Amino acid sequence: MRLPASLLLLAAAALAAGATTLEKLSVEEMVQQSTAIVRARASAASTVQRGSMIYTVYRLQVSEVLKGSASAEVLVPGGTYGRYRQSIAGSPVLEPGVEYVLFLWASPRGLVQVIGLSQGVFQLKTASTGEALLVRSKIEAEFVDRQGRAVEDSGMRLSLAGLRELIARNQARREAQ
Amino acid sequence: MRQRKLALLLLLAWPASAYYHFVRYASALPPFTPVYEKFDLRALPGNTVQYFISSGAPLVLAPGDSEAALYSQIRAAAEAWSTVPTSQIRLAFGGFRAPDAEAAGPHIQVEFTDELPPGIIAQGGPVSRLDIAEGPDGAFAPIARSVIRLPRNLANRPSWTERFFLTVVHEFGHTLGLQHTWTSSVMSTEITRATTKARPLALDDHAALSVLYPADSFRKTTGSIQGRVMMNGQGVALASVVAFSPGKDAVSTLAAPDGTFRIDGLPPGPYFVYTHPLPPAIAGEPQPVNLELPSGPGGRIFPGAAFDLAFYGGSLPGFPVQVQAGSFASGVDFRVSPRASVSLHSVQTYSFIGRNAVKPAVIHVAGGTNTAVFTGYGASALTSGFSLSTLNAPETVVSGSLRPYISGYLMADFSVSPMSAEGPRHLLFRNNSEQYVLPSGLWIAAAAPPSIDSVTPDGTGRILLRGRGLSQSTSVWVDGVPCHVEAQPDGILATPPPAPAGHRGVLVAFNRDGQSSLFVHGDESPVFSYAGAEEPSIAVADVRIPAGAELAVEISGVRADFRKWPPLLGLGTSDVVVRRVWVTGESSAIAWLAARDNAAPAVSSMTASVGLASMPLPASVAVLPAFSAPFVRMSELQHQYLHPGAAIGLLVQGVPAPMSVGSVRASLGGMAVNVLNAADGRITIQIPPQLSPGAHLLRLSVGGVDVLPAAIEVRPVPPVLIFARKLDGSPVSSLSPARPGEYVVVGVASLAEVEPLLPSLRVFSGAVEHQVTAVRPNPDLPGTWLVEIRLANTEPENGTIPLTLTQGAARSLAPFSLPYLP
Repeated sequence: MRLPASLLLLAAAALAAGATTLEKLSVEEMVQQSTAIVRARASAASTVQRGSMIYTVYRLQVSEVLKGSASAEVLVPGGTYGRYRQSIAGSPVLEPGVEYVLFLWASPRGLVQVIGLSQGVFQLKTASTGEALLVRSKIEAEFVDRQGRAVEDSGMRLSLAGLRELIARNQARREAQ
Repeated sequence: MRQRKLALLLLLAWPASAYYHFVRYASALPPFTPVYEKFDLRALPGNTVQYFISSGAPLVLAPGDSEAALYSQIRAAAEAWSTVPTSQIRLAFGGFRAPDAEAAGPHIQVEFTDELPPGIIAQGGPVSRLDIAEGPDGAFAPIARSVIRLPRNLANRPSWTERFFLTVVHEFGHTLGLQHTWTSSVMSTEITRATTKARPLALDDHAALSVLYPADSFRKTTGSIQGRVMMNGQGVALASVVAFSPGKDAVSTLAAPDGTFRIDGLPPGPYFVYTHPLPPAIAGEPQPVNLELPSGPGGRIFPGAAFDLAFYGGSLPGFPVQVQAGSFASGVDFRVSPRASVSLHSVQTYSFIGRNAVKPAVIHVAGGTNTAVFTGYGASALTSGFSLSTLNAPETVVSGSLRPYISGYLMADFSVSPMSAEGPRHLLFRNNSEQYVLPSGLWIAAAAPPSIDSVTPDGTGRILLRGRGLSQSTSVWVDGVPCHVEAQPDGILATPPPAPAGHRGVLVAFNRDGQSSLFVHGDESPVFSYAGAEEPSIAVADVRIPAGAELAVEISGVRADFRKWPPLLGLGTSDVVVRRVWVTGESSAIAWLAARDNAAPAVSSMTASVGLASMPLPASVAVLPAFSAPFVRMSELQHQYLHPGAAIGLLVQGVPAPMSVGSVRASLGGMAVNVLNAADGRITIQIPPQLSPGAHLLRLSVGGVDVLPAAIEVRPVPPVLIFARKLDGSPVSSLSPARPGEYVVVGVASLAEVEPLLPSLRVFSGAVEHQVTAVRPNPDLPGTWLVEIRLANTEPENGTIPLTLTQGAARSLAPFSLPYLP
């Protein structure tokens, strides 16, 4: 029995979502949907409560703004605040001293978070050629794509120059619209 | 000293399994007794945790969807967790309220937010206290509140779909203290989840919830398997251990830091047991996928190294472990072999019904689909050494049918056998030396899923549904609320629930085999329009309740049949809970409210719901200082059998002055009540003999001070078993005892003359039911009845068995001792 692929997509559309199932975003989508992209180091985590959520707050030492405007801090859901602890599996942990490229998203109320939980966190490394690379190791999380279909993450490796180009193209496209 | 006390309590506690809850360990050394994050039932009146819905700004919904439909689905999702029979905790809708509203008591907040970044579909989980509390089941970390966050934009997630409903059920599971499992239950991630809207919870979910909030029946009706997973002489932390019976759901747990494990909640029977490593960790993250790691004095506890999946007893099919209710099967130990990495995992299966795909794959015994499509890590391409089989099942993979589908997917055909019975089947995947088991990866159904092919209004507000697979046992929902249904020769006649004027609701039929018409119609399910229907309304008076008090409040409705759809009151505060609603008529009901002992004075707005309609009420709930008004402790009465003519003692608290019989005025259900005694905070009254069974409002005043209204549920006059004799008329006695299988005639007084009488009667001795074969008036003693029964085989105590009789809500209070010889 051979079944048309369209049926599978229909099926998959009925399967999306789960508590910590992430919707996989491409780099292009992250560039489009982020409100800021920065090159930064994170330091001195604290916690804050906003509404029903506890967030871990990282202060950012921004060395370059690739898109949008610099943010002084980024909030990651989960943490310990006063006598209480809130656990959100899959939240990223930003290590002090490490240089990151962070895809940030500001909510309508101004809350700055990383896109897609861990998806928007890249480490910045220098290749043997001297080229600056954004590296995110393969995330073996359970992802679904836009149609809800399970997809495998193959990791990402992108040059900083390539990202700048993507951002510029995206900016030009938006201005053209 | 405190630490020693805690350690002692931990040792004395019922030895607990780790499961996949949010776990802390108090000790870095064995025995590893988990400290769970869970709600403190002692802080929840009626063991009920309330959930509140906060929408704030308007939502963006899918075409055809509505907020009424969405909220009804959320209520139905919460209800799934309230129906676990082996768990004590219950969830109740607390109403709507502002996202930032203060709440003191433990509760669950369901909020729609525009603060979820792209790439996150939903978030949920508990906020727990860091300090540890002592409870009857050992130490635990009390959950102060829990939260579910859903995106405000739900344009691509219609509320009637399987995917939305199961996501919300899953999220509610997190809020109650459950993490993820790899056993295809609703608490599995979407990839491997094998539950459906018609069957939202699996046995694994029941076990997990019941470990946290066990009812008495949990430990009496289920058993446990315990053992240890070892590798190279060391225990394997967080090894997943799974027990399954062929054709039934699997149940699993995660091993403690020293590799010891215990799987609870297993119904008696034989089980095969295997252990497997967790899927790989997220690179760059300090934890494996989707699991909040347990923590101990030394910090987070990480999973042991990867190993080969292993069955207890060695090679397949393993060695079955016999589980008995109320006991442990011990020594189920594994010695596993290390492997470099885990690359075969997280497989999902589909099958196709018409144009829709169904997950997990369903095979119909009666014909139809027998093909499953699947994909997963390590199972997305047909390579040499890759194979698929069923585990201990009569169905097999058709030889040579394993083949590629579209890129990234494989497919296989299954053959059923005369031995095929409904239920889940577990699949074994092999990729060279690596094995992976997908529990419930395949579902066997006897018949095709139901469909709704036509919807015809009958002109009286009801609709006739015609389609396939619709039967007497089919339930039909409009959005998240069941219809009242009557089976017809040509379909189902359904009475839709009340709804807002002009509402359009999606119709879905559910069968008991876990299939629904969503399998056939998917997102294009048929719709029922309430165009022209009048909107229901509900009225309630203002409530003023002191902290720690209980009271009753009357509810009245218009254009809503409460007997079919009981009203819900949302009090808007976690400090006051609706313990129960009694429906007293088509448009009347009484609600029993209880305030927490430490409730803070505050005022909140009330909402009410009936069917799909929810409405804000002009009435409010005001919490007053404790003992600021006298009240009847209604919870004292809930296990008493109160009937017309009976005397009841009421505990009345907060009365400002000494009481006497002469100072008390009382009425029940509008009838004046005899006050028999009044002293020391207790008032004894007689229920008017002519009062009809049902819930009635009790009004009391003491010394001119009104006591808060209370409700009393009056049961029917209890039947009385007078004598027993044999069919020949001779008495049953110790010299001539009754025997198993023998027919005896029991004389009964105070039976209600319902029509038909015979099916209303049931006779028991303990848990053993004896068949009622005939009933007739007793000609020798008018007003009494002769009930003929056939005695079942049972065990006497001191030569007799205790016979009791029930008739609907009525039951005999004193058992009749029947001489009996096995």
